Parts: sequence; C-alpha cells; structure tokens
Amino acid sequence: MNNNKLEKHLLSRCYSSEAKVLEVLSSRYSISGDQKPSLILTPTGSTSSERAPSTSLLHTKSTDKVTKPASKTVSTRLELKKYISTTLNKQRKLIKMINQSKRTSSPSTAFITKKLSQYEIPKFEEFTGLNSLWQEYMNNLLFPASSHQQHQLKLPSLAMLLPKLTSADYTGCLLTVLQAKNTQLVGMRGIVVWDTQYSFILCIPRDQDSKEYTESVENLTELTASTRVGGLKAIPKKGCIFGFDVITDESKDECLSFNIIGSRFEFRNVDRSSKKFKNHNVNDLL
Amino acid sequence: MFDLNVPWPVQTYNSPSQQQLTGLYNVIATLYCLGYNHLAINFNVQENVKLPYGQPTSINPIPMQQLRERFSEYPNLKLFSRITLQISDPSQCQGLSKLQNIFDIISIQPNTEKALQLATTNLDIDMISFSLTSRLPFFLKHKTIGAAIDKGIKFEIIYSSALTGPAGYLVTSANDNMTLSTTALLARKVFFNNLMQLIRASRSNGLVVSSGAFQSVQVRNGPDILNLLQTVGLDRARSKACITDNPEKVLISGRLRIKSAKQVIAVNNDESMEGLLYSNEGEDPVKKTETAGFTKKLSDTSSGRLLKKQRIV
Repeated sequence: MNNNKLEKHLLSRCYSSEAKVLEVLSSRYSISGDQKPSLILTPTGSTSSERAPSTSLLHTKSTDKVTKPASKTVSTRLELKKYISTTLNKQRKLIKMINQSKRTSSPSTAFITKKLSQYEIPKFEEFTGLNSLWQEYMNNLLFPASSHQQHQLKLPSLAMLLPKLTSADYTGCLLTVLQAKNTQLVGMRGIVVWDTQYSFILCIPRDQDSKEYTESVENLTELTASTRVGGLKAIPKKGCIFGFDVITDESKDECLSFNIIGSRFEFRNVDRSSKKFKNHNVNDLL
Repeated sequence: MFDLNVPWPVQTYNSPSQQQLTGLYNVIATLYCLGYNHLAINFNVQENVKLPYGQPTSINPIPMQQLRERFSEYPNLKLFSRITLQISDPSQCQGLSKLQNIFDIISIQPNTEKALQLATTNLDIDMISFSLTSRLPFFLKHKTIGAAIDKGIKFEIIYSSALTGPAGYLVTSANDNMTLSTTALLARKVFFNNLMQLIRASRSNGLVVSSGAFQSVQVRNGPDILNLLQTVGLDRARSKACITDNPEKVLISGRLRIKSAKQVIAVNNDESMEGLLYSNEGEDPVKKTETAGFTKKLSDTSSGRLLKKQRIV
C-alpha cells in the first residue's frame, strides 16, 4: 500500500476532487475492476477554470494552529516537572483550605468536588484506562503466545518472569506501599503517573478507596483532608517496599502479586532496561 | 526470635531413625516454647558426601512438607531449610549455584584458611560457621572477616557445642562435689577462646547465635544467650541483634535469592506484612521456582478489589 500513497499524490495533481482520486485508485487495485497497469495523468493547465488553486493532498492546510514553543529550553520533561509541582502546590492549598473550614464546619462533598475541578487536580478515575493498558502490556510481556497451550495459560517459572519485570515499565501500574521506613506512607496506593529515579509519582484515589483500612469508613468527615483531595503524590523509593498485582486470568479472578524493593530500584527507567543487577548486603532492607 | 541451626540428625542421605526424628521434633517444640518462631533445619554435609546434582528434587533430604504439617497447630512457627557445606579444599565446591533454588539458606563451614578466603570473596552465601569447640587451624584476620561482613555474610556461633562436648561432670571426692572432666574443661576453654577471637575479628558486628542442639536439653532461651554474650564482652544491643536482627538479615538474603530477581522484584505469597521478604508459605517446598503456587484470587488482595471496582464501573 506504500506506493498507493505516491499514486494518490500524483493523482491529486490531476483531479480536482478527492473522491475522484479515490475512485480511480480503488478501481485500479480491486479484483473486479479494470486493473490497468498504467495510470492516466491528465495535464493540469492554469487555464482550467474549474480547478481549485493547486494544493496537493500532502500539503493540506490544517485547521488547528500549531503553537510554537516559546523558547528552545521548553522540553516535555520540564513541562511535566512544572505540571507536577504546580499540581502539588494546588493540592497543598486545597488541603489547607479544607483544614481551615473544618474548624467551623466540616466541608461537604459537593464543596470538595467543586474545588477539585476548580484547581484542576487529577482524579484517580482518569488514570484507570492507563492501568488497563498497563495490564495488557504486562500480559503480553510476561505471558507470550507460546505459554498459552490449548487456551490455557501455562505459567512460566519465576526465573523467567522476574528478570522481565526488572526491565519493565511501570507507568500505569497500581502500586501499594507495603512497608516503609516512613510509617505515614504505609498503605498509600495509586497509579504510577511518572517513574523518576528516586521516586514514584502516583495518582492516588480519594475518600474510602484511598487506603485498605479506609474501605469501611462510613463518615467521610473522619478522613483527613489529604485523603479527601487525592491527586498526585510523590513517594520516595528508598526504604519502601511496593506491591502490585498482575491479572493472569480475569474470568477466573486470578492474579499474581509481586513486590518492588524500592531501595534497589533507584534507577531511571531508561537506565533500568539495560541494567545488570547484583545481589548486595541486605542491611538496608530491614 | 530466630534460631537458624536446628540440625538434621543425619549428615548423609540415609534416612534418620525414629529415635533421631523424635529428638528433632522435641528440639523444635522446645525452641518454640522458648519463643523462637523462625527455625531453620540445617543439613550439614561433610566434604566427602556426593550431592545428587542430577536429580534436583532429591538434593534436599529434609521432608519440609511433613515437618510443616506436623507442626501446623503451632501458630506463627515458620520452618526453613538450610545447608551447611564443610569445605577444606576450595576447588571442591562446584555446583553451589545448583543448590540456590533448593535451600532457603546456604552456609559454609571452612576448615582451612584458603576455604575461608574463597567463601568470603567468591561464593554467593549467607553465613559462615566454624566448629568452635575444636581449635581453629588458622588465625581469624579482621581483614577477611570484615570484608565478608561488608558483603553481608554473617558469622555463626553455635552454643550447644559448649554445653555438651566430649564429657560431662565427674564425681571426684566423697563430698560429692561435681567438677568438670579435663576434656570437657578443655572444650569449653577452646570454645571461649574461639568466641573471643571471632568477636575481636568481626569487631562485634555481623554475628548470629544459634543452638545447633540435637537434644532439647541443649536449648537455651533468649536471656541466657544474652548473658553468655555479655560475659565475653558484647554490649546488650549487639548481643540482642545476634538473635533477632542478624538472623533475620540472613533469612532475607537467603530467601531473596529464591524469591527475587537480584533483590529487585520479589514474588509475594503472603498477605501478612511481617516477614514480607522471607516468608515461604504457599510455596512448593520441592520446586521453589514454580509460579503456580503464587497465584491468588484478585478479590483477596486490597489493590485487586480496587482494580475490580474500577473495571466494573
């Protein structure tokens, strides 16, 4: 189909309407059509009145304006960094506001949802799509087609799975902090938005979903302001052990759980893919 | 508390007699009563014993599954398997990597200085133990011991060898005063001498105290061990680490060799947060790298429940 593009470009100089071009092309390649080996190109004269100003299909005018970056220093990475820090600042402001209003009267859920959209704080629900994409990626990575035998998944051995996981990408993974030197972080969970060298940027769920032990809380006012706001959270890798689940068989409700040992994971994901890991002294893991 | 040396009664692949097995069960039960809930069954191998490398399932003679079933009514009792290889010739220890997925802990008992040198520098092991009741044939240098401790290898002190030994008490005079026989005295003297040497060479770091008891009378509780260590000059915090923190580190490093890819990503098979890195429940005791034992129901895990909730909505 590659040469088709070229032909389309050639024909677009001959015919004024795109429909005509497509018709010629389709008749040329269809089995029932005339299947001519040659292309008839009519000369385009400037005198022809019906022809629109010569514009090829390759150079069609785009309607949406492309904004040029203001300066050369703007890069995606810096923009993302800026976005994360501004979002974290906004969250801090909102938490402060909620805490202040708590003294007088506990803030209603409607008030908080209004403020969340006003401050443009990202919601956990927006990232669940990313998570299902990640689950798909994990399934393709860990269980290649050869491990499916007669529609039954034959699990590869751990020696096969684990090295693949060390070089995998974790953007979109739902992580839970299982152990941490900083006890405040234990139980925190969320979907990885960005994997930096020393920390995971998570998007954490709000209200009852935020932690395992808040699932049964009924009165929302018992929860702290930060769990009601949710949004982004930067969790350092050092001293933490993270857990995540890979769904192996959704219909049978089965999954495999793994742990990430954060202290041994302090690499950028670009470097990690080619890194050769080694065993070390475990004094820092306890 | 941890006791990483509950000896398997036979040192070869012969099956133990019923009496020996009862002795083992009694030791485990006594240790559990004294508050030790992480026990490692130690298979001590002489250098001349040939390990059946060809059949990976029969390398471990300890029936872990049966032991676990037998002690299933003891809550929180965790049993691990351990191998101790006695080495005097450094060229003899090939195939160590084949043992890695079979035993939870791999330790080495060097009989020559060359073997110790090899164990500290080249081998991927968790612990080094010495036979402390016989005179060590070499001087322990701080340089070699310190290098091993930096690598994360711990040194084991087996206290039961000082309690038993070649002979017991003698009745000498008519007043029925009990005194130690000369050989027993010598054994204890050598034990303390070696212990002091080990503490000096290791600068009081990286020591693990374990029982090594064949009979339940040789087992001591935590405070007794702390007393023993304080008499040889270890401070309280460090001697406590010998029965709590240091053995746990040994377990973590040994278990992570099986459970993880170079200590980066580990497979999780236990919901309880304590002992996350070394728990071995739900694992096939013979084929440790089999993945099938680790599958879980999605609705059993908390993050799984959250995932499910999101997918239905």
